[in-house]
Amino acid sequence: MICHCPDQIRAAADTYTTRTKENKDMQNEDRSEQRSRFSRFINNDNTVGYIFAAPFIIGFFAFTLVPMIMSFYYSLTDYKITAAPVWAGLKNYIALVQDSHFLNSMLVTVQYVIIGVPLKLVFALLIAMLLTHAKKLQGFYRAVYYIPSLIGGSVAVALVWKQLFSSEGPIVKLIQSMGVERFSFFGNAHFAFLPLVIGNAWQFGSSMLIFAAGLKQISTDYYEAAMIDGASAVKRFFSITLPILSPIILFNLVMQLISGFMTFTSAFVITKGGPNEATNYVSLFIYNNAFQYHRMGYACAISWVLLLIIALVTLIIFKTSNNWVFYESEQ
Amino acid sequence: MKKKVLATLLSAGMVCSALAGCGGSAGSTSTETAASTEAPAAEEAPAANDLAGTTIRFAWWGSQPRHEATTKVVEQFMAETGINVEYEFYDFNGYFTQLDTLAAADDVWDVFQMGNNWAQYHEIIEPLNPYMESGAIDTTDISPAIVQVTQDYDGQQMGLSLGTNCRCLVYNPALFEQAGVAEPTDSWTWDDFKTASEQIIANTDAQYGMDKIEYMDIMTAACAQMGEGYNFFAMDGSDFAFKDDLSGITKMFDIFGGMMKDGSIADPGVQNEITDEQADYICTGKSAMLMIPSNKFVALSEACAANGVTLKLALLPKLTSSSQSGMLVRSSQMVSMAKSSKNKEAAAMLIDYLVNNISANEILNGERGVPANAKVLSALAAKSDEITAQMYEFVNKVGSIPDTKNTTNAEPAAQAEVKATIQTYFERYYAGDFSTAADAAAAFYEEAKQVFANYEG
Repeated sequence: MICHCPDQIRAAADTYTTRTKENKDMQNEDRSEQRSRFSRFINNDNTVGYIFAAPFIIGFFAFTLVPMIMSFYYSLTDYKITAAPVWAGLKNYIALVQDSHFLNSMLVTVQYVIIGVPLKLVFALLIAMLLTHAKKLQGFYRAVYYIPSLIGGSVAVALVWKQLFSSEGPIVKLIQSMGVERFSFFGNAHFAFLPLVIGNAWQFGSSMLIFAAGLKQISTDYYEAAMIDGASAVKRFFSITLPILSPIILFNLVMQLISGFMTFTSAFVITKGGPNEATNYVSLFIYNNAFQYHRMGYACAISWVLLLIIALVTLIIFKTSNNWVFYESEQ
Repeated sequence: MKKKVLATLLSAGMVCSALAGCGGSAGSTSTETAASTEAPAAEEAPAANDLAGTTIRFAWWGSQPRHEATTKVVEQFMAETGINVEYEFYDFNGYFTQLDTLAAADDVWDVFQMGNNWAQYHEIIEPLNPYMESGAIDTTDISPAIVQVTQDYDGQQMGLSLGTNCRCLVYNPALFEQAGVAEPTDSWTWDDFKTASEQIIANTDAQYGMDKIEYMDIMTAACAQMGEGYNFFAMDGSDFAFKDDLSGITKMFDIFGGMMKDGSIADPGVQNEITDEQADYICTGKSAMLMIPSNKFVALSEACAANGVTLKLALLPKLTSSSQSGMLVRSSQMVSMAKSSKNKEAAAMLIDYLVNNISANEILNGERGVPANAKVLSALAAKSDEITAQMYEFVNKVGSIPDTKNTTNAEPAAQAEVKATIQTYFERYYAGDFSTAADAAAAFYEEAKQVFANYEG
């Protein structure tokens, strides 16, 4: 727009000069205000929170969120790693449903979870209860039982486990000496999962610590009252300990289910998924497809299906938890 | 003021070093003209100065002796040429996982070791043809047949062989003698192999005839043995090539699956426990035979010698005593250049050095296979010990079998998954999922076809 009116120009010029003048007057004031605004910003609780959380947030975006979004894109492509991904639509997901190897890997994973997780939780609770009763060297024993959890996920432990249960290992030799000929864990599709499940249960330490903390929270008043009424130890366990501990059981159950579904190291190191795919757990199946067969797109699709399944199982457990989890505060 | 002084000093330093650089190259040019009669020395000197200071990355997989020897060779290369080489080494699986990650990031090592599975990595490999034509990589002393072995089907040079090998059967002659069984001959059949295993187990302390199955190798051999024109994979890797005739594959299920069932071959769990040759039952005399690539014969013999076991080499057994050998001399592994490399000239120099340099190969000592370069081979053969000589002689013998040209060397992109599928079906057969070997073979073929189809296009 071109302006022809001199009045308007004058008016505009006036406004400009006044503003500059005002600005000059306010400069000093501005600076101090800016500083205080900055210090207000930096001392704000939210800012402080975000700054302290920044390492995690940055890590989450760089190493979790971005890769997740990328993997979702790859799951819709044919991606052979060495060449650029080619759009394939839902092809990978359709192939997945028809793939008997995937269904088998899902099945053995569910088997692993159903047998492994309760075993681990029962074991953890048992030891936790033993340790709350033991007064001498309680801290020492707790630390000792926690050690397997610290080193449990490592390759080194998996290698030790492989030796223990191998055809020349002490456990197989013991079974053979009892008269079972040609017995082997890893050569037999029915038994190969057992050492892996036991290995997982052996790493009960972190669940145990959480249980132990929960047990300490239970007021002794309940037990004393029950004992006066003549309740047996078993009755006390099922009527007092279990109900009050149930929120903690829920927490441990969900955590262990998720890690159970993602089990990888022991199968990768010890059995390579065999024999006859009996220990070909989903994570290992994903790894093989991605890095052995170069079907990265397919592997990403399986990862997303696994994510959905874990989310679904968790959701079901949370929804049904109203029926069996008891919160003291709500009563 | 201080800053100015510093800047002047620094720029003075730069001028000096630039002058020195000029002086250096001038000096070498004069040596070149002076020593033009001594061709090799003159060739190396100027090239070294051009590329000195550049940095390339080099990686390989292997076991401890290979890591030590290759590291030494790389150090020597750096000292001679002034090119910096950052090297990494891994075990076989770790190597390919790392390579995949780098390939996804388009940041592959400039020079890297590659197997016959190059089809999976075709996109990231720089063909060497231009460097061979320019003479940067010298192939005059390598027989055309060996150069060709590492080309793709369009004649693109995917790499140069670091050594050749062939599949072979090694056996412990002492166990054969103890059991009163005749040693393997060139017309030995798979049935003979099975009978010998059973007799050895019955009459000696040996636990197994063979403890580990090389699934891909037995399939490749058996299909090629069916006759000229038959193979497991087609020569160009485009398809299977046993013409829907499953007799060879059925025979393998029958022999190896059957032996696994009756215990003369170790069960899948034990097979999985044997992670390297040094841990093999053959080293302790607990197993009589093993299939290995010939270049591993020296290391395996050394591991066996510690227990007083000596080994001999034999051709693979055949379907019938008169069938084709099913064997071939192939590149055991090669060096390739990355398409993404920014220093391709320096990379070419390293490849040339690894393949052609005699002193380098004296350090490597044929551990990767029989050297491809004829001059290198004769230099090494002159100094080799008895076991190495036995290996050279064996590969030479296999090379002279006329029907080896009929055996496929192809490892198409589907190979890794097909191989896993073979193993799964052997384990299913072992577990009793199929009543006959023919059923297992038919079911395997159905699935293998599907697997192959996933990799087309």
